Amino acid sequence: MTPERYERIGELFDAALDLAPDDRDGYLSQACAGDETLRAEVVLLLANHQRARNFLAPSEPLIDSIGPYKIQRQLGEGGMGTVYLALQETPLRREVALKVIKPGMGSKAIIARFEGERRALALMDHPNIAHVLDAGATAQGLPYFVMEFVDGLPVTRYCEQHNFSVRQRIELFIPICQAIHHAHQKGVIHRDIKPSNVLVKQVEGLAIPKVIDFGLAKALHPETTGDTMMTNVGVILGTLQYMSPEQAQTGGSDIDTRSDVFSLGALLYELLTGSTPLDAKRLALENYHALLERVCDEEPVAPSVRRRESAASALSGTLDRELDWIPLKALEKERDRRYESVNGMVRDLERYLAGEPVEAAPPSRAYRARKFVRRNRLSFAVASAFLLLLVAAVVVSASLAVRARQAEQEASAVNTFLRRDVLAQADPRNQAKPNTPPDANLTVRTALDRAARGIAGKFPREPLVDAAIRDSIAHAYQGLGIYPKAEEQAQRALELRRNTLGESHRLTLESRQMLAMLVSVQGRYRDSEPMFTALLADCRKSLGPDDPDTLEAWAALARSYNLQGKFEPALEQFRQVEAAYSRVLGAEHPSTLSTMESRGSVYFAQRKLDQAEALQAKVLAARKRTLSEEHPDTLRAMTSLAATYHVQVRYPLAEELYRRALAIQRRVNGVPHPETLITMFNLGTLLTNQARHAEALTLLEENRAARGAVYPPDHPRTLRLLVNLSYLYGRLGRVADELRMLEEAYAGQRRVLGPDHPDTLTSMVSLADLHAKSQPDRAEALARDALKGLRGRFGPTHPDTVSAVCSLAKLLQARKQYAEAERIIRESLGAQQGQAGTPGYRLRLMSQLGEVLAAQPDRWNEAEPLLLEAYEAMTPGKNLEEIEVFEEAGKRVVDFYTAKGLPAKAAEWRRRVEADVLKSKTILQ
Amino acid sequence: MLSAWRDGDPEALSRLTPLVYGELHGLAQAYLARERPGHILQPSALVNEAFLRLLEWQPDHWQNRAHFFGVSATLMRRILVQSAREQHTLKRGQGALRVSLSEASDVAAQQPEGADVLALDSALDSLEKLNPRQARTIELRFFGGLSLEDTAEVMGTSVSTVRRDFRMAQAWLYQQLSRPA
Repeated sequence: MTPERYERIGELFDAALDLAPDDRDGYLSQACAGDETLRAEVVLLLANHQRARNFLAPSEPLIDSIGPYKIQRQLGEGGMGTVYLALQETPLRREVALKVIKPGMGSKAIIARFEGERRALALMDHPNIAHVLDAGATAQGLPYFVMEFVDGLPVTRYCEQHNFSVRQRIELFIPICQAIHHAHQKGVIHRDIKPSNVLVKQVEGLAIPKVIDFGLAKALHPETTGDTMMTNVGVILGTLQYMSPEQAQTGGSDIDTRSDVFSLGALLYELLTGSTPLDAKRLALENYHALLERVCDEEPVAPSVRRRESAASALSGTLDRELDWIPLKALEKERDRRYESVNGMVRDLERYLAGEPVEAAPPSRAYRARKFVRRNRLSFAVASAFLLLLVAAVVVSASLAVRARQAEQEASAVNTFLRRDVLAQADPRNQAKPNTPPDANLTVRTALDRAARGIAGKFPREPLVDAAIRDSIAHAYQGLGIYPKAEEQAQRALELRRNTLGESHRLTLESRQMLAMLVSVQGRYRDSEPMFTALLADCRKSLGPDDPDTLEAWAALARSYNLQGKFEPALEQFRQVEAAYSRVLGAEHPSTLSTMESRGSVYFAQRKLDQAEALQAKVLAARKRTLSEEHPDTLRAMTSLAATYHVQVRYPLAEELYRRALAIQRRVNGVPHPETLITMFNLGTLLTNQARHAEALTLLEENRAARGAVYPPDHPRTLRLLVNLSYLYGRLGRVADELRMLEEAYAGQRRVLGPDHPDTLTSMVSLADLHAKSQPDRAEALARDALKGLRGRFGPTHPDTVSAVCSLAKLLQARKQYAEAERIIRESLGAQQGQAGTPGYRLRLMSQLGEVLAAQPDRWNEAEPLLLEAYEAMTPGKNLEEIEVFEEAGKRVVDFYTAKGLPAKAAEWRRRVEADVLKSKTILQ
Repeated sequence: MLSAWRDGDPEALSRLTPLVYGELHGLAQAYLARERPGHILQPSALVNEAFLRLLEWQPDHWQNRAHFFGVSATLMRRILVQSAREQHTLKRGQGALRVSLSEASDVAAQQPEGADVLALDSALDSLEKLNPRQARTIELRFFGGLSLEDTAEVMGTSVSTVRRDFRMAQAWLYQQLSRPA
C-alpha cells in the first residue's frame, strides 16, 4: 500500500462514516466507481471501526473519583451504564467495581428503592455472592452502585474457554444455584440472572462463580415494564432471553423466587447447549411485542435435541436425554410447574451427577431399574475380576503348600473369610446408598480395604495362605493404582514367605520382585536399584539364568537404570534380556515385546528418535495382532509411539494417537490411573507446544488434581507435570506461579531423583533462565552445574546440553564476562565438529557467539559475519523450538544494527525476520 | 526545567528526558511486575502517575502538561517495547508480554483476545510510513494517554482532525493486529 492509496481510503472512510449507515453502501458504490478492491478495503476498514470500539483509546480522565472511590480504569460498558474499577481507601483499602448508571433513569427513585432493600441485602453472606456495598449519586447526579470487584469472565464464556465438559458445567452451576437459594432465604430475589451477572474467577486453579448485581434489578426497574429504559435492542435481548414470562408481562410487579428458578433454567440450558432456550438469532429479528409473546408461549426445544442440531457449535458430544428434564422443568411457563425452590433444582442436579433418577421426570419403575444397572455395571465387572483373583490365590497356595486334608480345612476358612468379609461388601445391595457418587472402584476398593483389615489374625497357623491372600490384595491394589496400600500388603506377604520358606524360595523371590517394583513405581528409583540387583543375583542362583522370573528381575533392573537416567547400562541390559526372552519364550511373547518397548523408551530419552520409532511401531503392531486394540499394553504402546511423533513435531499424528488411547483408557481404566495420567499429561504438553493454552491448562490441571489419588506429591512424574504446568503458566503470563511451581518441582527433583538426574538438570537450566536478573549468582551456579551434569549424562551434542551452553553464555554476557562466555561457546562448538545430525546446534551456538561479540563494540567486525551467517544458514521448519531459535538469531541481527546506530538497516532486517518467521510458522501448520 | 524547555531552551529537553525516562521506567517496571492476563494495560495511567510525581519538583506545570505528555508518550512506547523484548529473550521459550484489550462484559462480540506490545509497535511503524500524523496521534493517545484536546495542542492541529485521525488509525491497527497470523 502506498501513502496515496491510504489517503484515498481515508477520505472515503471518513465520508462514509459521516453518512447514516444505510446510505454508506450506495455512496461507496458510486465513489469507488467500479474499483472493487478499493471498495472492499473501505468496507473492511469500516467493519473494523465498528469492532475496534475502545481499542487503543485512553480512558478519558473525565472523572478520577466518585464519592470516596478513586477510579482506576474502565472495566466495561453495558446497557445500564459504565463499570469502573475503583479503589476504596476507607474503612479498608480494596478494589471495588463501581457501576455508574446512564443518565435519564431517575436517580433519586433508584437510590430510594435500593435503600429499601439494603437491609435484606446486608443479611446475605455467601461465598458465591458478590456484595453490593454502597450506592450513591455522582456530582452530576448519576446514580452509582459499588460492588465487590470480581475479576472474572461470564460463566458461559468461562466454560467455553476452558472447554468444560457437561459434568464440569453442572458442577460449576450448582454453587451458583446455592448462592441464589441463599439470597431467597434472606428474602432477596435477584431478578436479573444472566451470564454477565454470573462471573467466574479462577482461584488457584479452581473456578469460583460469583453472582453479582444483587438488588440492582429491583432498584432499577420501575413498577411497570420500563419501556423508557428498554431503548437499546441489545439490552432487551440480553435480558429477555433469561426472563420469566410473568416478569416480562408484569415488569416485575408480580414475581417471586420462582422467577429466578426460570432464569437459572435458561442459564443452565445455555450452559448445556451453547444457546439460549429462545434462539437469539431469531429473537433479534422480531419486534418487542412479538418477543414478549414468544417468551410467554414458546416451549423450548429439549436441550439434547438443540445440542444435536447445533452440531456446528463448540460443544461436542451428545447430551444425556435424562438431563433434559431439569432445565425444562425450571423453564415451565406456569410457575407452579417449576421447581418450587432453587434447592429442588440443585437436588435434582446432584441426583443426576450421582447417576440416580432425577425427580423432574415422572420416574417409571423400568426407568429406575435401568439407571440402577447402569450405575453398577462397572462395579460388578471389577468386583468379579477381583474375586477370581482371590480364588486363584487360594487354589495356588493350597496346592503348593499344604496337604490334602489341611487343604480342605483351609479352603473352608478362606471361603468363610471371602463370604463374610469380602463378598458382603461386593454385593451391590449392600453398597448402594443414596447420594453416593458412582465411583467405578467403590465396590472393589471397599472390599479390598475391608479384606486388608480383616485378614490380620485370621490365619495364624497358615502363614502361606495369609501371604497368598495379601499378595492378591497387593496385586489388586496395584491394578487400581493404589500403591502405598499395595506396598504395605506386599511387604507383609514378603515377611511371611521369608520366615516360612526362606530367602531364596520362588514365592519369596516373587514377593521381593513385587515389592521392589512397587518401590520403583512410586518413584523411589534409587531405593529400588539395590533391591533388583540383589534379587537378580538370587534368582540366577536359585532358579537358573533362563528362568522367566530371573529374566523378569533382569528386565526390572534395566528399567530402574533407565528411570535413573543411566541410559547406556540400561540399553545394554535390555538388549541382553530381550535376546534371552526371544530365545526362551519366543519373539512375540509379551515379555519380549515389553523389553523391546523399554529399549525404545531409552532411545526416546536419548532423542535417538528414528530408532525409538522403529521399535515402538513394531511393538504396537505386534500387540494389536496378539492382544487387542483395547488391551492396556496396546494402549501403552500407542502412547509411546505418539510421544515419539510428538517430539518429532508430527503433531497431528501424535494428537490422534494420544486421543485414541486416552478415550479408551478413560473408559477402561478411569482417570486416576497411572497410564491414563501419562497419556493425559502428554496430550496436555502437546497442546502447550501448539499454544492451545486453554485446552492444555484444563487437561494438565485435571491431571494434577487426579494424581493425588495415585501418586505421592513428590513422585517424579508429578514433578515433571509441575515443570510443564509452570511453563504453561509462564506462557499465560502468570509469572509468579511459574516461578513458584518450578522452584517446587526442582526442590522435589533434587530430593527424590538426586542432583544428577536429567529431569533435575533441565529444571536447573530453566531456573537459571528465570533467575538471570533477580539472582544472577545463583543463576550462574545453576547453569554451570546443569551444564556439567548434562554433558556427562547426554554428551556434548544433545539438545539439552546445547541449551544449557546458551543459557550459561547469556548469563555470563549479562555479567560482562565476555571472555568466559566466548570460551564456553567455542568449546561446545568444537565438540559439535564431525558430529552427524547436529548442524542446527552449531548454528545456534554461532549466533550466540555473535551476540556475545556484539556486546563488545571493539569486536563488532567479528560479530557481524557470525550473526549473518548463522541466520542465513538456518533452515527452520521442522519444529517450533527451531523456529524460536531462528527468530532469536534474527533478532540478534536486528539488535546488532540498532546498537551500531543503523536504524534503517535494523528496520529492514526486522521486516525480513518477521516475514521469514511467519513463513516458517505457516509451513509448520 | 519544563518551562525552560517550553521557552525554547533546547538543552532543557535533553536534560529533562532522562529525568522523565527514569520516572516512567520505574513505574513501568512496577506495573509490568504485577501485570496479569485479563488486566488491561493502561500506559496512560502510568504517564499520569509519573507526571504527578514530577510535579512535586516542578510546580510550574500546567502550560507544559501537553508537552510533557507528548515526550512521555514516545518514551513510554520505547520503555514498553524494550521491556517486552527483554521478557522475550529472558523467558524460557517465547514469552512476549501480553496486553489485553478492554471489552465490555455484556457484549459477546468477537474481538482479538490480546495484542502484544511488540506487534503494536511494528504495526505503528508500518502506519508511520503511510501516514505519520496518524501514527503520532496513536502514540500520543495510547502511550501518552493524551486527551483529544491535548493531542491537538501537541500536534498543532484541530480537535476534529485528531478525532478523524484517531478513528481511522484505530480501525486500521485493529485490522492489522486481529489478522490471523
